[in-house]
Amino acid sequence: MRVLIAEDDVTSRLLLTRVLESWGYEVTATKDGAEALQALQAEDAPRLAILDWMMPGMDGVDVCRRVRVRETLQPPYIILLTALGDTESVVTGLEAGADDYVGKPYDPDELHARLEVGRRLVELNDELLEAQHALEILARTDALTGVLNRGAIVEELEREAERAAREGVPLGLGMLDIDHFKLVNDTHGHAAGDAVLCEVVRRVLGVMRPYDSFGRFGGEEFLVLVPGSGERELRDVLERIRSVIGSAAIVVDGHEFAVTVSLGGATRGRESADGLIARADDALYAAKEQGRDRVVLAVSAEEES
Amino acid sequence: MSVRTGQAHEVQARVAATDAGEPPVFDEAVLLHLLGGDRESAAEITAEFLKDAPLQAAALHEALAAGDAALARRQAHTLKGASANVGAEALRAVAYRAELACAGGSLQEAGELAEELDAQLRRLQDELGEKGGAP
Repeated sequence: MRVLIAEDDVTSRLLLTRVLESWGYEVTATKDGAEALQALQAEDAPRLAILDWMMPGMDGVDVCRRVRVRETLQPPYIILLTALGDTESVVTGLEAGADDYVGKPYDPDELHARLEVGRRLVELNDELLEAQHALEILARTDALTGVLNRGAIVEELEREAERAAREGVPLGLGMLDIDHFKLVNDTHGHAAGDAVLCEVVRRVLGVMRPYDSFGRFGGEEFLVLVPGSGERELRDVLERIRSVIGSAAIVVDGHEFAVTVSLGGATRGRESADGLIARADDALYAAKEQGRDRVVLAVSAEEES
Repeated sequence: MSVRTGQAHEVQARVAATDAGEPPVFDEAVLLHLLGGDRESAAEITAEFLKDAPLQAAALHEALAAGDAALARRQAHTLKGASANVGAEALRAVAYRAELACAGGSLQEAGELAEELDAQLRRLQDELGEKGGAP
């Protein structure tokens, strides 16, 4: 792990560098507070820092304060080196944002032990970040199909609707429903139903553009988000999806299912995400009414009002 | 404390000083302890110190001549820290007294201590010179 050191005295700096290197650390040596601050704010900055308290210009405490002003998920662990051992100074240093302090002249074993504490905390911090990231992904993913779940696709829609309003660009939304899906579940069991759902998703993803989003709205209903699309483009995308699913039977355990889907589409007028979902849902209902296996677009919001 | 010259005197003086409870001119154990016995690095660092310490001492004199107590104090402080690191015990002790004098605003006393510091530095150079500049 890399350690930044800030020490104005050349002898002490060289000594500390050699000591840390002998413990297996990679050292970034700086000669004053300004240089240290710059190194700590650089991209891919060292995560451990040993700062001398007394330095000309910006001292170790100043560096702590300035580093702590910036919010980051990966803050450095800072140890202050201080000859000022009194309680007041210790409190000042810790309040400025130092994580620990070691008195000068330092006992090497103590410094080593305290540095290892810092390394453990930095590693723990990163492990928690990774776990948090994994949980965030999990919380947004539909467990069965692996696409965005309801919360995540609706959130995505809200974000895109805001962006469309801000930038004055169109936004298309499709709602997909598998025709007579209940029949698959009822006659062949839920495992077969799950397999059909997964295959439908696989085929849809195969014909989608990278900047479109697809998520499970619930049961056998899905949302297709097509940013930047007007009615013609939306219809093309939804037609492609309808066709790739209806064109070939889905085979589960040797059994062929002639699966078709109905799609309702709507392009955004001036309404909210909820309003857009409601109109796509109405269009989907119309597609079902008209005999299924088809795409129906809602009348545009402008014409409606 | 006066400036002594000549190796025999020097060694004698050091032994006497140690016996009297005064700090030794140079204690190689300090640096070796810090470095976990790495003699090569110890030699490198001592050499660096011998190059830098005279500059630090000169800066201390300058600050005192300019009547800048704060700067003088910091110079003395830095020299104290560096001396402590390399085991230049006698030098560290004088630097510390100079730091205190500067902090107390006694620039005249600090000036005398700066002279003494020069003397200690020469003793250190002599002693380390004896050993070829490396512990």
